[in-house]
Amino acid sequence: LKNEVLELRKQGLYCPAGDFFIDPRGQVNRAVITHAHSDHGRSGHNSYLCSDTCKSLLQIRIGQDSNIESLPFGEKTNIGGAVVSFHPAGHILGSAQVRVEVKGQVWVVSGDYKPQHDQTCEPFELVKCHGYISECTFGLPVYRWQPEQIIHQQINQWWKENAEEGRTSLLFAYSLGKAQRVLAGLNSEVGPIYVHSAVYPFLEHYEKAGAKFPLVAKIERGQEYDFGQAMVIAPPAVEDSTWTRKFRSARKAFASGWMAVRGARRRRNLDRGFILSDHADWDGLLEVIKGTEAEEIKVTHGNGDALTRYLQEQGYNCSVLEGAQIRGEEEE
Amino acid sequence: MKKFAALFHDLDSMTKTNDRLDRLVTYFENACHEDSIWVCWFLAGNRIKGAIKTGELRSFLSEKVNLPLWLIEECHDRVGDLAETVSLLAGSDSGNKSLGLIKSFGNFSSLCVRWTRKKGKPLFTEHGIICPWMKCCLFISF
Repeated sequence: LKNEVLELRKQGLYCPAGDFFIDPRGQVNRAVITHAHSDHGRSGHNSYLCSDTCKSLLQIRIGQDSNIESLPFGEKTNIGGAVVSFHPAGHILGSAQVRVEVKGQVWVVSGDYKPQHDQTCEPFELVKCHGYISECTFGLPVYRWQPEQIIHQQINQWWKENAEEGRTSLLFAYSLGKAQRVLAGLNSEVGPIYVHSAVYPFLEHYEKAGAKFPLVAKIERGQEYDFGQAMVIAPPAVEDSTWTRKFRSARKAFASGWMAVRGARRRRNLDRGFILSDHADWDGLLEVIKGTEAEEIKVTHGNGDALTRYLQEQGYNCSVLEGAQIRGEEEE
Repeated sequence: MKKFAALFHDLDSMTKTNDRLDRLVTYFENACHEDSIWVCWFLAGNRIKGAIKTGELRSFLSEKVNLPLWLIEECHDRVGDLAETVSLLAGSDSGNKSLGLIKSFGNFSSLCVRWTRKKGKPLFTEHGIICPWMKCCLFISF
């Protein structure tokens, strides 16, 4: 990719007119960040620009002392010869699509996005543009999401059944975004709710932004707890660690879009998988990509070959963003 | 049919043999005898073999969900099981209707026979999608 607005360099997407990178790797002078997940907002850059609600989350991830400026959604700012603005991506709190305009040409970098409803973050905004760079984590039609209310009901039902058997419910969910989305839907009448220490720091920022959570206790290192009929939310990274050993008799589940496929669920030997994703599903990807009315579409993040071919067959100018790093399953 | 789908779902998600036995007892106490026979037959590992070839099933699916055949194949590669792929792509349009197992499989068997003779379309009936001859037995939205 190389045009007047954006080009792909070793560190990531670069805007020559404004001399900045979007979600770069390595060390750059100016980084524009779509959201605070660690594969997008990385430490080590000289200065950062992100959305207002992203700022406090990014500080938790990359350090309070980092040089971070922020903008409200929709407000335009000039960086060199480029006009830059953030538009809600609906992925997690503060997640943005970055709109870059140079000499009347508009490109939008989606970051990660989700057009489906999510009560814990700003709703996705469709932005018309000449070129759209879309994620495609779930770029196959086997991935189609149900409304989140249904998944919340399933989780509460599972929790209730476990509680009636006197078992603890241990639910793995990514610490930023997914965990909060799960928490917001829990029915606290079933029992107490605990969260792993990696999940806890983000809660106050979500609450400041208007999210409503039930009462939650943080699990402190070295303390003894009687979890009993509790719901415990922890990041999947601790699944095979010593931390999880104290939950030997607990029922275990994972909340992720990958859980749509049975094999992914069984390989982890989980009792349950809840299909709750922070990314667009197949229908969501198509709806958004077509909705932008972009003349040129690039897909990245995930296996974009199928989506690309499907759109090409329908007459869209779509291709895989060559050279972009293929990301694994982290942060889904 | 939905009770059997629920039974299969529960057995699949359980990790303890005793839990599975309890679940089976509950099912058989409530199921009608004709259905119970089918359930025993399937859970003993039997399948209706070779009713439809994999390639033909994929072609059906392609037509039913209006997606190109190569995309069905991509999905099958990702999911690993064709019955599950069918279920994920086509879902079930059965709504709240549910037939007894005996009726579902009765209808299904006759449809299979008809299909093999006339190249009809047996899979997408009003009570959902039935592909018991696959390794995975059944994936029915319920």
